[in-house]
Amino acid sequence: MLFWSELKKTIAGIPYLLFVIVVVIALNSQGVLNFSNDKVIEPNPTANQNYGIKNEEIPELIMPAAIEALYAEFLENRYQTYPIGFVKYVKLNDDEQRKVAEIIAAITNIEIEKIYASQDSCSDRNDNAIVVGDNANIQPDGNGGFVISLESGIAEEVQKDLELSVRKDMSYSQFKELMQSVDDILGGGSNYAAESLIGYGHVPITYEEAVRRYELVKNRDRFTGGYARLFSDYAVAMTFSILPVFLAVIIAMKDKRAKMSELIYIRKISSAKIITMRFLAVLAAAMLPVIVLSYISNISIWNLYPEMKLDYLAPLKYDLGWILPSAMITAAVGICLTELTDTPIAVAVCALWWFIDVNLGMKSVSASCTLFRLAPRHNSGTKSYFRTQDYIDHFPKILANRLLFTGLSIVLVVGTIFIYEAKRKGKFLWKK
Amino acid sequence: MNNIIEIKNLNKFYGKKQALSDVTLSIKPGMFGLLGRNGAGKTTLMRTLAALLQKKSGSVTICGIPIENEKEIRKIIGYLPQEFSMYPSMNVMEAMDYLALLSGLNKQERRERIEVLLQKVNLTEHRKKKIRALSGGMKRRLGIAQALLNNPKVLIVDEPTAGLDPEERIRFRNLLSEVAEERIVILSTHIVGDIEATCENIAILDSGKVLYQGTVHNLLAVADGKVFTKTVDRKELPTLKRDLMITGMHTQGRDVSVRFLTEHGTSNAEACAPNIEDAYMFYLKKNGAELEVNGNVILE
Repeated sequence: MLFWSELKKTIAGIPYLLFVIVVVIALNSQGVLNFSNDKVIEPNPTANQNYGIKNEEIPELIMPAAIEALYAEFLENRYQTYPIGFVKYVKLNDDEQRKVAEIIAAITNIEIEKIYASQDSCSDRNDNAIVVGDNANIQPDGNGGFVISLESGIAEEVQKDLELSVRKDMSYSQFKELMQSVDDILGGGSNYAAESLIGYGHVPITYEEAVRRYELVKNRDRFTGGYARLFSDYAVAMTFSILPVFLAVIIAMKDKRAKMSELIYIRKISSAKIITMRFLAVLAAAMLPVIVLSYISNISIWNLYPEMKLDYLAPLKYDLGWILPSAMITAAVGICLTELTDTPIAVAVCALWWFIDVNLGMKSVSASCTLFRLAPRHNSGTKSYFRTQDYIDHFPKILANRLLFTGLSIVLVVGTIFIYEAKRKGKFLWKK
Repeated sequence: MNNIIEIKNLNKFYGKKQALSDVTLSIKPGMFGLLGRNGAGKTTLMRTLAALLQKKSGSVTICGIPIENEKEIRKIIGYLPQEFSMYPSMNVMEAMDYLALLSGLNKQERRERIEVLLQKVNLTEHRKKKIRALSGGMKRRLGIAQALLNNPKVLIVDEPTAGLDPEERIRFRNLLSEVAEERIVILSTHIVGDIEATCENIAILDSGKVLYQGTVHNLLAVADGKVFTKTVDRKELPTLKRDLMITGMHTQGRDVSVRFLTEHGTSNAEACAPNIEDAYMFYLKKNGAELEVNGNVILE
């Protein structure tokens, strides 16, 4: 009964309406509320189908692709990195550039002077392109104006002149070590880090693999599971790693704003019961719209697979298993910090945490589900619902992450109970 | 379980400031008035009795239960705080039901109890009214109703009549007297009239210390023969203000009828029976309290 009263208090009013609107807008903006145009097609050997590509750690593919990419960035002295999640273009000083040149030389056996000569040549051409405009294309834009674009591929031209190739006696482990040194010079977060090199191993997916993948989608995910997973991925990253804190703060501050704290402190009810019920009410209020939306999203594909066995509970499973722990941790942080400080500081704390976490995941949304990720990602764009095998492989990591945050939430709620009880007894008067 | 509140050598500090100093009181069933100026320590004492504040030292037992046993204390206490409010968007019924739920009442108990209490405080016809739409007097009456939800043995009411119009104040006092028939009601106020109208036993608190505990009758006896009235020309008023403690003035044309306190009597003045306001002022003065009279009565 108390639960219903607290739930009613939580959902009554404009803040909750705003919460629902933001959730709907955020998820709709990512196109996960309607998958009706995203059918998983059964591979057909006779049809001319493209099954996509995958990444594999094949040194013969990775080494030439990585050294070419490094050389291109060396020529322009503009290296793309994600040191703390945000994209950062690194420009090296002369000493550091020399070290990179030495590494390229060590990998390719090209003399360092030639590497520098090619860089000078490249910058000359760039200079010309900018100052003189020899390399600029000027095209009418059809609206009475012009589009000016610089000729691309300067670096590639130079590369062709230089004939880049990895030394035949270079082992993959040596190569990884040298590339890791480049990553160190760049300050970390580059594609040359040993664990990131796999990104250069592009392999086309074969028909047999496509069939296996389809069978997994069909038998393991029963089609609906993959879509529910993709929905959950966005729901966690865009909304549920931050928004429930607002509901928690509002309900925790409601007594104080209504000057009702003492009226409640004096009651017979235990602190454990009142805090637990409030926490559960916030969770229920937060989860209600997402459960509805997850079904709206999932229902959109149910008629795409006639006569197939679908898992109609898949949205609910992912809502509870994937999204709920995020809602729990943000609500728990909200309720705990608000009771501790009597201020809405939890909103700022969660916003900062969410901002850092989401940006940390930018480099690899495809499978960024390490233990401490607030919003674990498992998404490779619109075809994410195909990746059943990847999900199976990463499941232990995701499970550990979700269990950790669930446990942490419970610890915070227990902490809040102690804080609340202390306040009832007139402790924490230092705040006044 | 006895029905007495026993307070012995109670001390309470806010940082280095002592809010209660060796307070010792014994409170029996019925209305008990706690009188004192703003900042005298009344609210601190009330909140300590309601187990909302931690004491520094001393002992407090409420109906035999040590104050440290908050769980049991909460079962037998009703409390109307000085700044009383409820969720403004709830209506009277919803707010009462929510608090009754927190008081551990089941559905049937809640329905019956709320009905009785709303009737008692004359709010039955306003049961669907939003809290934000209630007048000050209605809110106070609702405050009493919520404090009685758990049928407490002890009702603590902190400055309940502040800001009420005379009619509401009288109605509220009567309500408190009615309620006090079955329990201890501690009424804290700086409005002497409230005490005079409702309490037989009182305590006067000043600067955290108990200056007086006893009956109203005994307090009045202290001021007996010390209260006088005199009619003077307005011009004499500044001199009188300087020399005497004036507790009342009534202007009639150029003349002013002055009511004042003095221990030594005065010429051309007529002795009169003290009221509780006179006695209270006299007691404060006698105990060295710094009074700011300056011709104005500091108490309502």
